[in-house]
Amino acid sequence: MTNSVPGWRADMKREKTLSRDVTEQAAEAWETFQGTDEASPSEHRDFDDWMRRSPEHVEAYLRVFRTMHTLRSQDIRWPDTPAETLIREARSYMDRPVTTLREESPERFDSPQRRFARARLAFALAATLFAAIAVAWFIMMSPQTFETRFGEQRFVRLDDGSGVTLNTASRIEVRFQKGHRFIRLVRGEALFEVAHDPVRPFDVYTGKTILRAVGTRFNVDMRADRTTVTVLEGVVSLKHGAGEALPLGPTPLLRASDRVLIDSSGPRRPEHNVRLDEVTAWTQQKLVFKARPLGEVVEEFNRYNRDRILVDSPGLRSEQITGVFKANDPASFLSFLSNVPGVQVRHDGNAGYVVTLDDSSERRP
Amino acid sequence: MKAAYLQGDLRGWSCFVLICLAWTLDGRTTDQETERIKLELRIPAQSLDEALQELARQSGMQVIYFSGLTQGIQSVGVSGSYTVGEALQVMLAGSGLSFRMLNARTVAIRKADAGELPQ
Repeated sequence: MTNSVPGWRADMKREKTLSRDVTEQAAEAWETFQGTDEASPSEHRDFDDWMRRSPEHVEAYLRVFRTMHTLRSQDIRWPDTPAETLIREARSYMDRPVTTLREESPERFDSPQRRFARARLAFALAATLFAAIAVAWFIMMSPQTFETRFGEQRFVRLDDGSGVTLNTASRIEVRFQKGHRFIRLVRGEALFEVAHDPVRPFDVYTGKTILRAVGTRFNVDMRADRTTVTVLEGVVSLKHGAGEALPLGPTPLLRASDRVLIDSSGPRRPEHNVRLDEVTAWTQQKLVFKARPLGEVVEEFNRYNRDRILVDSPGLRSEQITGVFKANDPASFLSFLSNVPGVQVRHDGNAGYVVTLDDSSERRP
Repeated sequence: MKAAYLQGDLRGWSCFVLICLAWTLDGRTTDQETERIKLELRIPAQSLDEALQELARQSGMQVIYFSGLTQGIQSVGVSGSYTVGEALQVMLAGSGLSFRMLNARTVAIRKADAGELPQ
């Protein structure tokens, strides 16, 4: 296979005591006998001699043998496996005894320096192994994250077949495990279409509230001071507690067309028969508002548009308005405002649009 | 092979041209043109709020008004071929309200006599 004399044979010839790493030699020996079917009689003899010289050699060879067996069972086929991998794998088996020949060996050369060196190597290997496991664990446990930028909307198909539509400036973390599907709504608004899986509940964490669905559609709108949950289809159970680990009390069930508002004092009593087209209007970038304070409607526009609108009049902000609008058309909305008697709209370089109402026109006390 | 490729190319181009055309036309649509476009509308008689929302849904127009204006007002139904303006005239008849096209895609409901603020 190689032009150079294999290590285990060279070692034989040099008649030196284990000048090279025994594992390395064992690996090369293994390579000679497993990789090629036509090992020469002299190679067989050399191998036989090498094996007889020390139980350590036998142990090393058995280790390599076992490693290769493991590698093969993982469908890594020889000779595609480079010798380095083989050696590395064999070394990582150091901490697992294969035979106990070593203890019984009277000829073993084992100076304290050597023992110390081996301990150090073992420690280094253990540390490396630990680090590797830690990294693998971290990668496995760290959630998948999906987010949208300002004014952006996005549909995400999750691994289980569930769909999530993310509204503007939103972020979710997804973590799927054997018996559980965890979603954390970090910020913003999301519409969940949960793929049915009775053995893997679909839990959405939002602040202190957990929403559990088995197969359903529901919308979660998370704002600075409140979260609104609306069920479109199926059933969602709601748990609210101080922490995720807290045992949760009786869980109110939310059914289709139910909406519940959760603020700092916890979930309110659910509303029934909510108009669902208003709840999902955002997926068509539409704003549907019914007798809502103008200030709140302005905030809706500000969620989607970089040029913010500031209404500098409490009276005007509390004025209730109704309408159907495209979220990305604040210009028409400003056109409506500027047609209200006494209302002035001016563009401020930094702040966006400032809407003011003349004092003389302020009708509210 | 080549013909199929060209065909695909041609389809792509015609799509592009159509989109451009639609975009240009959309940009040019004036209030008057919106006024002239007839739509098949089916809006049942109901509260004016619901009727206006339905009009917005069926016509794709934006609708906005101060909520106090429509309180307690019922609307007759509209069914057939109407422009948005014609439909609004029918729906607002006798309510003391009128409408104003803010632009080609937005209609504001207002008092028949003056401003948008409820009196």
